[in-house]
Amino acid sequence: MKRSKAQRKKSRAGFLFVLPWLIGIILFFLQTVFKLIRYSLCDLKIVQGSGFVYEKLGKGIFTNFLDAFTGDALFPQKLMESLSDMLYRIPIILVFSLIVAIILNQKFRGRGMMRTIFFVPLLISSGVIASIIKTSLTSTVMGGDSSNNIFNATLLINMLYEFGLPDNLVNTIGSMVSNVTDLVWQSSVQIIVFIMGLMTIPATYYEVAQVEGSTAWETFWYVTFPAVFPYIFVNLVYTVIDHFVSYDNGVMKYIMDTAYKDFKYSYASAMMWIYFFIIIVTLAAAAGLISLISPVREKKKGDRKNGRRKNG
Amino acid sequence: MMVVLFLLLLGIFIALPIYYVIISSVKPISELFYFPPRFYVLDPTTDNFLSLIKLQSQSEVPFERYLFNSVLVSGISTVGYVMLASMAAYALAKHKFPLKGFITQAVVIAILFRPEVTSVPQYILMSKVGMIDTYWAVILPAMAGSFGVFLLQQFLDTVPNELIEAGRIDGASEYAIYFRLIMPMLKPAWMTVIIFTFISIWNTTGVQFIYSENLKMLPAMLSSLSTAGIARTGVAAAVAVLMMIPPVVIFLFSQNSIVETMAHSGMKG
Repeated sequence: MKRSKAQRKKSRAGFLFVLPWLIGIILFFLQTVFKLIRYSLCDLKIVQGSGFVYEKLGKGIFTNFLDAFTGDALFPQKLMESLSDMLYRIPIILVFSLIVAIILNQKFRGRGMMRTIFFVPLLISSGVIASIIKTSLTSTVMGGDSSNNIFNATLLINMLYEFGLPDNLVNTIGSMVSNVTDLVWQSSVQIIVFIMGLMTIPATYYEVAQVEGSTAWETFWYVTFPAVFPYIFVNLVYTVIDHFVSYDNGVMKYIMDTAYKDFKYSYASAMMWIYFFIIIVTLAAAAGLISLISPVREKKKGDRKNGRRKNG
Repeated sequence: MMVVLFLLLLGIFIALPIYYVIISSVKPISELFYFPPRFYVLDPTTDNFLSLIKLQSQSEVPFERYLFNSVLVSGISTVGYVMLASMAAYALAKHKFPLKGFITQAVVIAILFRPEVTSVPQYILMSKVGMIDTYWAVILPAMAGSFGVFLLQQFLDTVPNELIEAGRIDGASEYAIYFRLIMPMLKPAWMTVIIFTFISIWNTTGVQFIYSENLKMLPAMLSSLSTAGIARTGVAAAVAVLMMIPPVVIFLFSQNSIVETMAHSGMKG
């Protein structure tokens, strides 16, 4: 089928819209990615006087990749740990952040303040503020224990001991508190994205549901859930990536240390590529899984695919 | 009411560290190192903030300069990024063109590459194009992000195609559709992207790219002031409190305007 003039014009307009961003990506992102591929296939060294120098690897260009599995006991082990961690963490974070977002989307007194509080972790869980809090405050006040959590339970545990509570109780409370804190602190972005999604649902839908006499449970599954579904997908992608690429992740830490402490850039890049490949496979699997959950999405997607086939 | 109580309880978990930092910033030195740590202050003081000002005044570059750098860099990157990302997302969600499917997948994969992962090649690239020690070394890579594109694209997927078709039938150009139809509708989404982008850039020191003291940003100066040892603990708390203010203001502002657009515009959904 020959495409009409109007269609061609539309296609060109579409391309023009992506172009500025695409140029940015090509210039400042893709180049670095290609460099990372190149690093992984050779041995990058810092030589005094001549800066970064690429050296050929002795045993073929894939030596770094093979080493990660055969010569390194730590890497596969950390990889497995990270994967099994993900399996229980991601569903919990998603369900939790959806529940919190739904509550925060309802009208109640002090909603603005509550939203701000749930937004705060985003603000200080990374960057300068986090490093200040971690290095200066927690380490001096809490006895130099620089754990992954911004706020470890040591402080609270000490306070409870002061109140004279029995040891068992204090320990149970302590571990509960640090787990919950961990969860809440990692859900900030997801909560904001869900709130954004929930705000796009017209109030009239809920009014209709109420008039029709649907229960809160039904309203959730037939009104809220379908509308919020695209954002479950967004959040799934974000959570999976955040889990794997955050600095608290064992594999990531190991790769970063290899690169910036041992200065083995090439080996680190090779590990990074293996790791990213696994993440991408996980993402694809997770996306497949979630499209199974939602019949609504599946149908919509199918329709759109057919439409695309017709036009293109 | 039960759920709000539940939320309040969770809120306490989050607010506690923040509250602790704020309390620490007004504690005198005698109370800062009290053990076990206290969640209240007996003798509040502004000493920490005053000594922050004093420390700052000894620096060669005035405070306003750091602030200016920070605001300039965060502002340009955020506005630029939202423009680029929303345009790209609009095209990816509502247009057809060659390589579209490939680009859509690449957007998701690109989220994987955090700045730290690409920092070595990024540095080499920046030094080759001569952008080391300029604002551009921080601004340009920040504009080549992709989580915003992904988020906006998902949001646009829920916007009915008929609306855009109606605009076309009425004779609106592609740019008119983008500016007058898509952008107002996308407001909650791009406000969210603004929050994320602004915070991430506001929090970066950029010290690996910028060496000149008068081009450095606020976080770089503040973190070097506050990490100079245990004696600066109070100052560090003051710094943390000050650094938190702008993003919180941005958040409050954008939250209110999101609610407003949803309430006042006819098109919800």
